[in-house]
Amino acid sequence: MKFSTVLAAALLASSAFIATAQAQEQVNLTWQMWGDEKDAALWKSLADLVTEEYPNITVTAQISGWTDYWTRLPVLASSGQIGDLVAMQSMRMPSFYSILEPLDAHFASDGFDVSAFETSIIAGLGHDGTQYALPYDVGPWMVYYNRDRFAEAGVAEPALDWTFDDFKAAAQKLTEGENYGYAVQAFDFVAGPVALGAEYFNDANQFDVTNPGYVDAVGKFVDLVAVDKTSPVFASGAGAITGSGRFAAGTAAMYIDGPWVLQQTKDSVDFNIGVAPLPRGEGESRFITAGSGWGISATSAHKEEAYKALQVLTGPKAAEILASAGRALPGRLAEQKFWYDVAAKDVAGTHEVLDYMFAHSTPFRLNEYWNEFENLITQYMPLALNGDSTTEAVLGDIQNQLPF
Amino acid sequence: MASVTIRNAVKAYGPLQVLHGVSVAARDGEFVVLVGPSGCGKSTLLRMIAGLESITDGEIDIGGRVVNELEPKERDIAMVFQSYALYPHMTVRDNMAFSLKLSRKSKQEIENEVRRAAEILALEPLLDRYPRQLSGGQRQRVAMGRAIVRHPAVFLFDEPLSNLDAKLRVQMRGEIKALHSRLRATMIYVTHDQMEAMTMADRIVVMRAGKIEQIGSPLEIYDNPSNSFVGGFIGSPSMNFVDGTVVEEGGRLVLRDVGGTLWPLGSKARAYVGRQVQVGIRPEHIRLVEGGIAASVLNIEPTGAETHLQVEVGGQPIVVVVHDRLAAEVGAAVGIEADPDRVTLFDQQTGVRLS
Amino acid sequence: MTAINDVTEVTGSQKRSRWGSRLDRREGRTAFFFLLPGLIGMVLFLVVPIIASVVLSFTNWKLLGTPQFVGISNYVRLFTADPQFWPVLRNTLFFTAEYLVLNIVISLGLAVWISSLKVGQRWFRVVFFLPTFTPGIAVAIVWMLIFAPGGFFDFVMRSMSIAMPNMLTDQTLAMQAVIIVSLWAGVGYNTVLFNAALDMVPQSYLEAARIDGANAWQRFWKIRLPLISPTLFFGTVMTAITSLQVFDQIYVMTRGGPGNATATLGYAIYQRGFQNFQMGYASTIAWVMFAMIMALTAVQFWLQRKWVHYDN
Repeated sequence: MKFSTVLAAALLASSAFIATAQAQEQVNLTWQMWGDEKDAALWKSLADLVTEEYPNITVTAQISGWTDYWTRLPVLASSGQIGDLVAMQSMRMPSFYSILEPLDAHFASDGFDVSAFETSIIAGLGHDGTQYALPYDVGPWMVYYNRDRFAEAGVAEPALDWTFDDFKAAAQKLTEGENYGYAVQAFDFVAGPVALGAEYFNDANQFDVTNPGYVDAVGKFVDLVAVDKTSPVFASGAGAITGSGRFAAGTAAMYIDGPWVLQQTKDSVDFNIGVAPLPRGEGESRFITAGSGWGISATSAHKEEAYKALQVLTGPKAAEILASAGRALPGRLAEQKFWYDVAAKDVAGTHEVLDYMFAHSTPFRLNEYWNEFENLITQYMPLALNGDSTTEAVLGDIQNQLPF
Repeated sequence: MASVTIRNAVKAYGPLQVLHGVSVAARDGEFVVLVGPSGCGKSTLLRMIAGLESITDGEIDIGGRVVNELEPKERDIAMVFQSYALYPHMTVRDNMAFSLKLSRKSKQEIENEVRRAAEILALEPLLDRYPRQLSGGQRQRVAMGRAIVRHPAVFLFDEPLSNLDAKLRVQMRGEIKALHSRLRATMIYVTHDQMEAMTMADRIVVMRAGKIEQIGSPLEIYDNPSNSFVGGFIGSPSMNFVDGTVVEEGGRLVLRDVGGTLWPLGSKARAYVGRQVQVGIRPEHIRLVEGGIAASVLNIEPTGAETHLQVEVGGQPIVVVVHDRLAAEVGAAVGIEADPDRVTLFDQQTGVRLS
Repeated sequence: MTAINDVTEVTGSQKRSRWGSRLDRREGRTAFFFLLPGLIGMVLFLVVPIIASVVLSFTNWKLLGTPQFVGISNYVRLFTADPQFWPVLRNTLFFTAEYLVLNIVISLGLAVWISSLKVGQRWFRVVFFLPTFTPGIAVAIVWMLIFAPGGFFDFVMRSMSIAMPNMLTDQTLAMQAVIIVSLWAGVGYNTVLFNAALDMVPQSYLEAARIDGANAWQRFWKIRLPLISPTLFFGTVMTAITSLQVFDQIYVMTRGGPGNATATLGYAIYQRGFQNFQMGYASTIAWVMFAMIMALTAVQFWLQRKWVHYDN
């Protein structure tokens, strides 16, 4: 053979080799996530799972603080710097679905079955019937209570279907001297009234917070503070967090939060804690849930790889890691037991409570103005809580400014 | 109008003493000038009279009452500052009326006083101007006007002419003197310029390093300085000083200076024969004569009316004032003669006047 | 260049002026290049964003997606349909008025007091200036914890048996809490500024005033105050401009609440733009704020003619 022919053949062969190598090129995905220093190691171990499964894919987590994450996200999205994998919370899905890639087509392509996940959170991470993210955790809002204080005051621990009157009676009995029976927070005026059967939306999914049912339900909680003085007032600057602080300090016997703080609460307090469903009204119990998950950015350059990574991140092994670390009550039903065994270990009855709540879950109704609504609650409720205004007037003020 | 008496005034800033027990008495209506080199304490003394500085020890007496503890406004004084200190945000009229407004005088009274002062000082066309629109001389007059309207017992001047040019200074000197004769007020005037002191004062107080060297009328101080410092300070060009020993030579009393030159002395020197003295000779008491003490001309300064000659006698520079034009050249040899009766003897060590 | 050279040769009589202008031009070019870095920075970070903001105020941009032109409907909505605008405007003006007056009075008082001290002047200047370079957010957080229900302030009031509603949950007191925090943080700057100006008043004026019979109060009111009026004017204008934009304290301490007691223009811009993602509307509010600041500054400059005495 002529030398040039040999050379040409060699080049051809090597380019084919390179071509096949190209098919397995290294892809590095950026993963926008929130968390603190403790979480960083956890997210890294999940990222490593992806690389174990798909050696050509590496995932790098970009971690921000919780508040920072939501401030940065729209800015990153509009400036085109958003990562490939994006963490999303069900409550913010109506505002942000537009930056995420619809997943239904991807599910169809490999026959992915979402029934392994808890139904309410799958619904929560979708919008208008399209799925935008897969969940890594889920949980309803529930009542955390101080078992030691209950025992001291001789109050019976809550039953699964306890009513608001039971709740109020307990709060009153537990309020003594410097200690309160309950510490109200801003979100209680969403989760609480829903549990009592009220609705804050009308049928067109628009805000209607002045309907008598909602005003009445909110008023019940307001009176616990303003009239019965069983809870301290929160200031509008800090409406979301003061309750947990008081509970952990032992100065409030009950407060409302989700299972996502169970582990850290249990570890940081020096008394026994218990959990209970939210009190119901006249009718059946119903509970809203929320959770977080991950989606693929609509502008990602590596959607295929991101989808593969997503499946690993929300897969059973990852769920087990998160559950065993007590970090998340998985959206995957089968792996939830790992969480019960770890995070809820010394908190008796957690399994029953959560089973009950998931069995009675109701969709968490949201629209794109949800963020404003929450801010307005935090801003205006203190007026009703310290008696400066009535529940009706405050809710009227809030309604006036929605939607805008 | 009132007299001002200072008895043993002492001023110390912590451990640093700037006035060492000074006593001066200014009679009612007198124009007293405090003069001396920088740092002698004259301004401090004036400010102590005004009440702007506290007095460490001693007494200050204005019009018979001791004012040590009184605020400036209670001492019935007025002061004209070197920098004029006119309130820049007020018109001339308001500047002059300020103190009257503070003492709640009626509008009519204020108007009258201001007009009167403006007349005296020729300030009428300037009444509505601001200080920044005035020249130095005009500002000085406004400052004086501000003092006049108060009808104080004593006027205090703190080097008021130092910021003016030479010609204006001469003019203002005359104006202040005229003001004094018109108002017949007690005025205490501080300056470092001995010419101002000589031309304006009824009495001069010469100060040095926190002490009073001599108090007297201008001519008294000029003719009979109490020590060599006063002699050298008052008079321009200043007094010539020659060190030497008093000897009697051939029936004459002479001073043999360090260079060997013999200076004739008057009969008053007889008591000091054999003594080492410092002789002070005023430039205008030296004449150029043929056959006088040998001197060579170093420098000639014709002022128009006089000629100031700097000559060298045996290595020592001597200034001679000749009341006429002189045709001489630098380096020329001349003979000089000092009037022996006008010569002053000072002790070489202490500077105190001997005769 | 050659063309100019030629002309210079030809028009000999005009040579001098041409030479002068050529030199000027060269100097001008050099100056331009020296100014260029600063100019680029100013255009990029000041002029362009300002123009962008004007343009945005005529759109309904929601931060995600593309802006759409809506004409003046944002402005119309702001002035006629938004129930929050007038309370917000009122709050802003109220805060500015009270804060400005208190700030100037307190800082002037402190400045006068410091200049009257015999010892420790420098020490007190530093002490009062310290809050100025503490980050505003940090200051606001600490004060929020002090004023929070059950916090330190409530504790002190309780132990002194003074019955008082909590500062942050009471509608009238919340604004006062914001003002207190703002004063604590802002007074120091003006104090040092006015103190420096007071010290620059020549002693001789004050001595002349003492002799003229003015007591300390009269000396202050009639001599020192007029003579520091340029600095006072500067301090007032700057304080007014920054106080119309108040944000940090409100964001940390009250989030505009309780109710809308502390909702101000600055906070409204943040809320609409970054919490509710209505960037176009937020830009509208920003321009209304800009117009207000301009108006207030113009008023102050007009007042300056009567009240401020300049030396030249």
